[in-house]
Amino acid sequence: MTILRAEGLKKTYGKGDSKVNALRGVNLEVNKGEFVAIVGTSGSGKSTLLHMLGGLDRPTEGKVFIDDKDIFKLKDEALTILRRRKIGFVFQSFNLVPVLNVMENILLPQELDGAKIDKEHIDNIISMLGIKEQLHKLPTQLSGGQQQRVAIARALAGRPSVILADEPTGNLDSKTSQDVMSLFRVTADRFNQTIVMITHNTEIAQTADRIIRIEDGLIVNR
Amino acid sequence: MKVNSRKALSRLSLRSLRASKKQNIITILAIMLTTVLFTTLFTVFFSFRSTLQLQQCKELGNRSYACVYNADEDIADKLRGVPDVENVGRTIAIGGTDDRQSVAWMDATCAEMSFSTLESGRLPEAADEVAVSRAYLTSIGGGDIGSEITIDYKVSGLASSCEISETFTICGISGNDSHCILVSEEYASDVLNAIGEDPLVFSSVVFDLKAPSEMRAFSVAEEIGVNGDSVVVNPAYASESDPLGAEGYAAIVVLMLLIFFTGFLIIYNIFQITVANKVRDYGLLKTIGVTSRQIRKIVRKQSLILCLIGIPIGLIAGYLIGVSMLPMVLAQTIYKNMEIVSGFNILVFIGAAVISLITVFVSSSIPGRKASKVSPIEALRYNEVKVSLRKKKKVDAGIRSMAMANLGRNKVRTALVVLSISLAMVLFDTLCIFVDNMDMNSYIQSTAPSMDFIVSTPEFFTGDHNEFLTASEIDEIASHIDSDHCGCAYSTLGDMTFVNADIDHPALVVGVDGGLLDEVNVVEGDIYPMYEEGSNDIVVTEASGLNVGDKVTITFAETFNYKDPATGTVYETPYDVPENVDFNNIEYIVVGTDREYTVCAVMDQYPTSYAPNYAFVGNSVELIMTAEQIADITDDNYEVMCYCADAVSSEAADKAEAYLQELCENDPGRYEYSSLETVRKEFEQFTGAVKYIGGFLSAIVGLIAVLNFINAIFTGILSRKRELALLKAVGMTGKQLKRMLMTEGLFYALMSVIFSMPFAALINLLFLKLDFFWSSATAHITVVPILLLLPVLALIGALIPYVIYGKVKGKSIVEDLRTNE
Ligand SMILES: Nc1ncnc2c1ncn2[C@@H]1O[C@H](COP(=O)(O)OP(=O)(O)OP(=O)(O)O)[C@@H](O)[C@H]1O
Ligand SMILES: [Mg+2]
Repeated sequence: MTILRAEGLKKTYGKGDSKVNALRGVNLEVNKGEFVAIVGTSGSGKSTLLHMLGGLDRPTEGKVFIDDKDIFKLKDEALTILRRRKIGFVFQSFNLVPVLNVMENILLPQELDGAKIDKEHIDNIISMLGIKEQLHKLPTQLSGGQQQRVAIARALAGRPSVILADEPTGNLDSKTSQDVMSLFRVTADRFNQTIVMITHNTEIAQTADRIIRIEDGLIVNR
Repeated sequence: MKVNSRKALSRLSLRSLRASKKQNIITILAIMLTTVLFTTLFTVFFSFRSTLQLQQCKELGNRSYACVYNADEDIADKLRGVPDVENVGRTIAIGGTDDRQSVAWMDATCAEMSFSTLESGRLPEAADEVAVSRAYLTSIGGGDIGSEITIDYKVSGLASSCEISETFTICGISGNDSHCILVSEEYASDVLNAIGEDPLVFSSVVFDLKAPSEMRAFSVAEEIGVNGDSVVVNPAYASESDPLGAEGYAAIVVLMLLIFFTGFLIIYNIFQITVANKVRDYGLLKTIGVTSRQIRKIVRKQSLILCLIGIPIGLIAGYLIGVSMLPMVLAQTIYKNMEIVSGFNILVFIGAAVISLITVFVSSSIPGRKASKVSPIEALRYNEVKVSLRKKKKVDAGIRSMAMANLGRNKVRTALVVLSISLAMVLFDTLCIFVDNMDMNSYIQSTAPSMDFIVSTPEFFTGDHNEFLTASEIDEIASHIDSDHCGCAYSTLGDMTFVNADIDHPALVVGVDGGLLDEVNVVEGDIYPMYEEGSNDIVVTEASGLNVGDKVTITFAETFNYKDPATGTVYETPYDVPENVDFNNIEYIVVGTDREYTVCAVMDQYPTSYAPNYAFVGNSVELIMTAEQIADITDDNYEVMCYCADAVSSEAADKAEAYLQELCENDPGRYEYSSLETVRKEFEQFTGAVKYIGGFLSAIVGLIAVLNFINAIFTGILSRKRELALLKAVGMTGKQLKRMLMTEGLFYALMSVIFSMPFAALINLLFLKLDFFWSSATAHITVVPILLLLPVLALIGALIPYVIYGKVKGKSIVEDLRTNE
């Protein structure tokens, strides 16, 4: 079952001389429960694609469907709410709200939604990610790996159907990267979530169900 | 469900506020100062309004909110039963005396509402008892409780009117504000019954409302079953006679706009800088799913929290300042000796709070909107420090151009800071112009009377001419002023005079004692004939159109007749005119004493010493005759307008001054005088008020400007912490860095000065049009105060960045580099 679908995605930045074609017509389908890794050289358009898939930015051309719904037909406000309910984001850094503590950060999206909080589920995630001791600390008091785990916890907390991650382990050493990755896999499998992840790490990419390579704004087949 | 999301938003708002304490202090100060300005404005204006209202009530003789006519004790009782009605009082008005005292019975409440609270004795109970005011007693030549007085008054009934002369025993004395002669209820009904009138028709009930409103007054009447037609709201409180008038409200609106603008300049700037610095935070919130509306809510919540602290402090401070300013404002009006109503009015507070809140919300909503429009992508573009360190041969030039470039980075911020500082400087310059050009001599020349001392009742000086000094009072005053050049000026005020009995051609007649004739500034002819006994010569003003040698007939009106031009029939009273005749066509015929005079001289205008403080409009004739002539034409029905005297020596003048000062201080409701000294005091009071109010205004606006400046510099440094650290890392010394920041500050100062000078000059030019206070020959415009401010501004401009950078920078470059804000 297709949960995420991109059709003829194009994105152009700038005008005239400084014009950059970051995406030049990307078609993509991701099935429910699938773990997809996106790889490619720096500047090839990976992040741009991820942003489009998650509705963070609007494409110059093309469509994105989540659960068969054309997300760019939505107004900004509705798009934000959709994002809040269906998608969890994890980025390389600048992931946490600096003035909120760990627990508050994790719960924020759901509180904003006014949704009922599933305490058991949250406790589960927290203990799986091993951040029980850190719950009342501020993000600045955590190490990079711990911060990333909190970000993952937040992404998982609302049981989003899709998790989009942009080099989530880019800032971490290989041991911690492994740990974070396996946690990611385990929790995603358990809740049958779909993961689309950008990574430069071939080892991690190998663990994915499918690897998509992007060069120069286009998906290239191996 | 909703509750949850609100909690999360509140937490976010509060936490991020707490993270920037220093900036909050600046914001709170800005909100506070804005509130201070609004509250002061409202306090002054509305206290002023209540004070004028009270004065108007005093003139009307009653300060209760409304009155029900044809009402007896029964209605009074019903009114007492209405919860929001208070101070219910009863009265029966029976008539009035020639000297404008009303004769009435009043209960204690009504007496109090009519400014007739007794100072000694008690209210009349027996038919032959009476209570009068101290001023009235003085004017009839004294008396005390227990003594007998005869009162002549007129009762005007519906069917008949009659003159009554009655002798009473004084049982109580009321204060000077009272214009009532109080009799007993028994006596009042007896008199009315005796002439065949129903006392109920003359009875009325007065009352106050806890929350005054014209509509409520009428609905109260309806509730107790009284016809709305018999309810009258005191004209002093009626909306159409609001003492502030259209100009007053226009002034409030203009000042409110100025304050709003000042407040906007800083509050908007603070929020827009904050938002610009937090773009990344907002972007991040958006990626997690915070909607635009929720971000706007966060910004609004933050400003509300800051308002909760800033506004209450501002309200209290503003009220205190306003109350302290009120007497100075009042001193500039004709109501000098008024009882000041400090106007503690909850509405003033609510109004000021609401307006301040609106100012803050409006100022923060634009940046809030900007914050809500931040694209989530912004959060991800984190490594965005663009440093262009072009190598320049001269390091200083490089620093200077970098400072300039920094100011150009956020043009709105720079413009608002410059505008804010300029506003303060223009205000200050205007104030200086005012104080500098204000010239006592030209003020004295334009306002001081030509003679040393002018003494009269306060009414003379306000132009009301309702109360006059008596001959015995004049004698007493004259005996204390050693003078060989003195006399009285008289008027027919209250009775009209006309040229040739023409109703459309009134004459303003001033009679003077021979000693004052030499004050007249003759431009044509000769005034000497007027010194001769039995002279029939007069002086007229140039504006009258009469020439020397002209003969003119003046009519002293005793009554009017009414002529129907169609039939030529003349009726004696308006009631005689038949109903089928249209009253609009009726011609008035002046009936009175005619005298023919010869114009012996023409003057430019009335001498300043005894010029009446009012004039007729249109083709009136202003003239001066002798005391003998005015007594003749009015058949001794004239009043003393004022007493004027020149002292024989400076010692005599000092003595007279001291005497008059004491006289007027002891009884300010009865006596007032004018002399060089009082004019000088007036001038000083006026300049003092200008300095105080203008100083206050420019100080607060200046403070706001400095705050704005500090905020711009502070946030500028804070948001560039990493960038500055980077500059250091690539080799800029700390000294050079500081020099760069100080150059930025200096640019602000310089730009503000350059920007404000043309504006100040323009406003100066407008101000100089008010040549009442200065002679146009010496008045000049100046921007010197602004230039003098330049070094001060430059010092602040250089010092603030210096101090702030020292505080903000971390212990090491590495630490600064790592901060992600
Ligand atoms: N906001 C923007 N404005 C202009 N150009 C942009 C913008 N964002 C990305 N680009 C350009 O689009 C192209 C693709 O960028 P993108 O961030 O998707 O690359 P990437 O594959 O994620 O690279 P990396 O592995 O280094 O993160 C690049 O050439 C980049 O310069
Ligand atoms: Mg990328």
